[in-house]
Amino acid sequence: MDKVNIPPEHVIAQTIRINKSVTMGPETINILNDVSLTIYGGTSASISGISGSGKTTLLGILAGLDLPSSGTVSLLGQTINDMNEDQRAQLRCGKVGFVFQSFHLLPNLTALENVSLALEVVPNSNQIRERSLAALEHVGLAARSRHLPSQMSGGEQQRVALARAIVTKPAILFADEPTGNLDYATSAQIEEMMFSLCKDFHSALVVVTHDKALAKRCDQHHVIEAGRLV
Amino acid sequence: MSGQFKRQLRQSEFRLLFASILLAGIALGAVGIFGDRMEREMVNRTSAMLGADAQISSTRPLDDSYGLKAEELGLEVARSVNFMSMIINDRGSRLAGVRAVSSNYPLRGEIVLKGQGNLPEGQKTRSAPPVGSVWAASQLSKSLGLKFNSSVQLGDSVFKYQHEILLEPEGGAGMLRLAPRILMNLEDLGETGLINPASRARFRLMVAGDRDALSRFEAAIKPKLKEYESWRIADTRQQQVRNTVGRIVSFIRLAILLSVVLAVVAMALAAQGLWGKQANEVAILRCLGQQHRQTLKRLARSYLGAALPAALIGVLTGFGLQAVAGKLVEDATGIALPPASWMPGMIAVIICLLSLVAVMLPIMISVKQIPAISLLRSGQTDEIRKNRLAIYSILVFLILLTVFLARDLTLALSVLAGLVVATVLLWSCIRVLIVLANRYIAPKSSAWYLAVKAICSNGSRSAWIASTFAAIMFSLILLGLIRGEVFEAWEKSVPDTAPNLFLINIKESNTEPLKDMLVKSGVTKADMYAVIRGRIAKINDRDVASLDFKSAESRHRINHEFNFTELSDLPADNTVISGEWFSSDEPGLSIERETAQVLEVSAGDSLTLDVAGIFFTAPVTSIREVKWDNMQPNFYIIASPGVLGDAARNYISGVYVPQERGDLVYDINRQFPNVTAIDLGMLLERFRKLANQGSGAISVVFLFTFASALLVFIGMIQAQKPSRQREIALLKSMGASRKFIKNSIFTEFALTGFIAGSVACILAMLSSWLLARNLFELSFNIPWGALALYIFCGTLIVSVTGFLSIRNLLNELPVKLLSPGFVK
Ligand SMILES: Nc1ncnc2c1ncn2[C@@H]1O[C@H](COP(=O)(O)OP(=O)(O)OP(=O)(O)O)[C@@H](O)[C@H]1O
Ligand SMILES: [Mg+2]
Repeated sequence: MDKVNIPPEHVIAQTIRINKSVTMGPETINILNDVSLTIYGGTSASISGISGSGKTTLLGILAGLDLPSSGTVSLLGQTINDMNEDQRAQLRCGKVGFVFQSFHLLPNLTALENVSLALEVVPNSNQIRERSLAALEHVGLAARSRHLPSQMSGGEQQRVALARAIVTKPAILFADEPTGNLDYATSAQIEEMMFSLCKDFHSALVVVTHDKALAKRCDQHHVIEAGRLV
Repeated sequence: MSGQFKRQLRQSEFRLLFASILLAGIALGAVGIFGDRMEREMVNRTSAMLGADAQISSTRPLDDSYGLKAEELGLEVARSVNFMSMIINDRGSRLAGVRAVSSNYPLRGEIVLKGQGNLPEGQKTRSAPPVGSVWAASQLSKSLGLKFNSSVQLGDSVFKYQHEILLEPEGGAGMLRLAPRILMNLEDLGETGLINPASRARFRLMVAGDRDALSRFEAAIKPKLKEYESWRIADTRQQQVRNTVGRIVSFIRLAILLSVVLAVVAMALAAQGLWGKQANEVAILRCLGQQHRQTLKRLARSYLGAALPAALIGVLTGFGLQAVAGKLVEDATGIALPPASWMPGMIAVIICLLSLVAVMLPIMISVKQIPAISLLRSGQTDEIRKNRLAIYSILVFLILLTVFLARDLTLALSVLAGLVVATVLLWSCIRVLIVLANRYIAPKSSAWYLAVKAICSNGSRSAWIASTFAAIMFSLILLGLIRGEVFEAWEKSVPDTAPNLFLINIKESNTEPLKDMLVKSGVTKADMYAVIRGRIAKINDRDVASLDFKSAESRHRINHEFNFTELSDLPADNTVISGEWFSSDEPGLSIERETAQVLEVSAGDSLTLDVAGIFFTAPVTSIREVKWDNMQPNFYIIASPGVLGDAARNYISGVYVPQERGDLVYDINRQFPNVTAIDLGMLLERFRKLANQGSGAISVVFLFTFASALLVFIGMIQAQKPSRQREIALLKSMGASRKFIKNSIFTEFALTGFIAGSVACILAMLSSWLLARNLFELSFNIPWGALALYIFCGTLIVSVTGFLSIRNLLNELPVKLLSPGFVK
C-alpha cells in the first residue's frame, strides 16, 4: 500500500477562510464563517463548541466529504475544491479513517468483515484477513471477530469501528463525538485506544468532542461558536 | 462473490428479495409452463376437430404449388375432396357426402370406428380407408343395411364396405352440414368418374407441423389465394374468444399475468426495504473512499449473484410443480397434456431477472445521490427510499410485462387499469379513514383504538399493506368470478337437452307425420325449419357480378349457395343489433352480422335472391347476432314468411331424443326413408367431457395463482417487520401487556383486510363485468353471496396470516427488539 508518510510539521489538512451556507427556501443560513484551520501530520486536534455551532459541518469539509461555499480546502497536500466526488473519494481511499458517534457498522457483517471492508475498497490490497484480525487485536476484540454488531455492546461496536478506521494505517483520522453514545468508563477506554493507535501509526487525529478532558489531551484545541473559531 | 452473497443473506430484506424472486420464478415457471401446455392441448383439440393444423379449401382443384410449398417447409400434407353423390347397394340408394382422402388423413385427431369382428369398440385410427374400401358413418350404414365386406357402388366403381365410423374430424364443416358421410381413399377417386371440372366439390389441402413452419406457410400462400380459395388455421389466437376454447386460453393468460404482477410487486417491496439499509452501506463505502463505479459493480454483483440462482431454482421448482399438476390432470381425466417446452421456462427466468433490473436499476442510479456526509447526520439516507424514479420504473415495467404476457391489449389494459384504480382508491380510503379517525376517535386505552391509531399514524405503511391486500384480493376475486362465468357459459352452451339428433332432407309433406312420430316418442320440442337453397343475385338492384367487394371473402361467399329460411319469430339466441325484426306482413330479410359485413349490406338495403332461377326481392330489415355454438339450426339469411313464395324447400329439425329412445333413428329411417338422421350423441358426449377436463385444469392454474398470491402477501408483511418491531418494543417498554398488543395487532390487520377486501370486491366486479362483456362476450350477474364470502375470507386470511407472521415478535424482550442489528 502506498503509505503517505507525512512528517510532523507538515500540513495534512487545511481550510483557508472557508464559509458554508445552505439555502432553505427563501432563507440562507450561514453555518461556517471565515474558518481557517491547519492540521499537521502526526498531531492531534480537537474541535468543541455547543450544539449546532457547526462542528460536524467543519469536520465534513476538512475530510473532503463536503465542500465549502467559499474558501480553500486542502487534504493530504491537494486542494480539493475543484475535485468531483469520485476524485475526493479516491484521495480518501486508504488514507483517511472515520469514527462516528453512532458507530455505523453494517449490521449484516461480522466484526471481522466490517473491518475488512475498509481494506476491500482499496485497490490491490493484500492479506486483508490477517491485517483485519490484527486491527481487531489492537482494539482487544480478536475473540469477537465472528460476531455481528447486534451481538456486541455499544463500546465494543465503537472499538470495531475504530479498528476499521485504523486498519489501513491512515494519515489522518476523523472522529465526530466518538464517545458521545457511551458511558464514562467506556469513553475513557476508547479515547485511550484512539490516541495510542494514532501515535503508533503516526496518524493525525481530528476529534469533535464536548469532553473537556479529551480536548485537553490534543496538541491543538479549537472552539467554535456560531460558525466562527474563537 | 459467494462471500458477499452470504453477507447479504444476513439481511432480512435481502432474504425477502431472494424469496420473492424465487417465488416469481415458481409462479412463472409453474403457471407459465402449465398454461403453455394447456394452451397447446387446446390448439391440438381444435386441430383435431379440423383434422389438421390448417387447411386451404377451394371449390376448384388446388394448384400443386401449395402442396409443394408446404412440403418444402417441412409440413405434413394431406388432401381431401368432398362432394355429394349417390351411394348404391343391393338394398337401395342414398345421397351421401363423400370424402375422398389421402392415406395419411387425418393429420390431427382421429377417426373412431365401431367395433366389428375382432375390432374393439371405439378403435381409433389415424389413416384413411385402404384402396378399394370405404368406411361409412353410422346413419348411412344403418339405413342402407351395410354389412362387413359387402359391396357398395359409388359412381363407376364398386367398393368393399369395411367399417362403421362413429366419429371423425368435422373438417371445418359446421355441424349442420354434416350429411351422412362416406370415407374413401383419394386414389380411388379417378376411377369413380364422379369428379369432373364442372362438378360441385370442395377440395382441401390440409397441413400440420410446428407453429413456425405454419406461420411461414401462411405468409407464403396467403397472398396467392384466389377468391374461391380460403385459408383456415386451428390456432386459438385467431378464433380468440369466439368459442369456449379461446375463452379458456384467455383465462389462463389472465391467471399467469396476475401471478407475475403480484410477484413483481413483492420484489419491488423487498427491494425498497433493502434499499433503506443499502443506502447506509453505500455511504460508508463512500467515506472509506470507494468510487461510484466500484460501488455499483459491488451492488450489481451481489444482486445478480442472488437473483440468478433464485430464478433458476424457482423456475425448476415451478417446473416440478406443474409436472405434478399435469400428472394429476392426467390421472383424473385420462388426458395427457403435451410435454413441457423450454420456451416458457426460459421466459420465466428472463422475466425474473428483468424484474430485478427494473426494481433495482433506479435505486442503483440513485447511488450517486447518496452523500457520504449523511453518515455524520442521521435521517438523510431516508430520502433515497422515497425514490419516485423507482416507482415509475416499476410501473412502466409492469405495463410492458403485462402487454407482453397478455398478447392482448384489452386484457392487459383492463388488468392494469383495475390494479391502478384499486391502489388509488385504497390510498384515498385510508386517507379518509385517517382524517375521520383523528377527528372522531377519542384516545382511550383499548386494543381497538390502538389498532386504528396504528393504521393512522403509519399512513404509508398502512397504505402499502392495504393496497397490496387489495391488489391480491382483487386479482383473485376477478379470476374466481371469471372462472365461474366461463364455465357456466360453457355448460349452458351444451345443456343436457341440447339437440342430439338432426333431421335433414325432410319433405314438406313429411313434416306433420314426422312431428307426430317424434312427439309420440317423447320428444318435447320438434321445430321444423324450412331450408331453401339459393344464391344472392342482386344487391340494391345491381347484379352481384358487377359489384366490387373489399375482400376476396365476399366474392367467395357471393358465389356460394346459401341456405335461406322463412321464420316469423326471432329464433332463440339471436339478437337484433340493428333494424327491427319482422313485425307485420311486410316482407323483409334478416341477415347475420358477419354475413352482412362481408356482403357490405346494412338494414335498408335490398337483396334479390335467386332460388332455382326464380328471383325474389325484399328489403333488409334487420341485422342479427347469432350464437353459433348453441347447437340449434342457425341461418345466415332469414326471410319473413311468404317472401320466397312457393320456392322449392325441404325441412330440417334438431331434436333432443332422451337416452332411452336411442333406437328412434331406426324407426325414422324405416318410416321416412328419404329423411337423413344425424346422430350427434357421441359428439356431444365428447364436448361435455372436454368441458369437465378444462374445468379441472383451470382449477389447477387458479390454485397456482392463489398460492403465489398468498406467499407474496406473507412476504409483504415480512417487509413491514422492522417498523412493527420498534412499535411493539415501544409499547412493551411502556408496559402494555402481551394480550393487549396481540389484540390490537389482530384488530389492525382485520380492519385493514376488511377495508381492502371491500374495495377490492367492488373493483373486481366492475372489472370482471367489463372483461366478461368485452373480452369473453358473456353476460354477467353479480354474485352477491360470493362477494360477501370473499370479503369475509379476505378479512380472515389477512388477519390470520398477518398475525401469524409477526406473532414471534411478541415473545421477545423489548430491549432485544431495540438493538440495532436485531431483525427477526
Ligand atoms: N443540510 C443542512 N441544511 C440546513 N441546515 C443545516 C444543514 N446542515 C447543518 N445545518 C445547520 O447548521 C448548523 C450546524 O450544524 P452541525 O451539525 O455542524 O452542528 P454541530 O456543532 O455538529 O452540532 P451537534 O453538537 O449538535 O452535533 C445547525 O444549526 C444545523 O441545523
Ligand atoms: Mg455534530
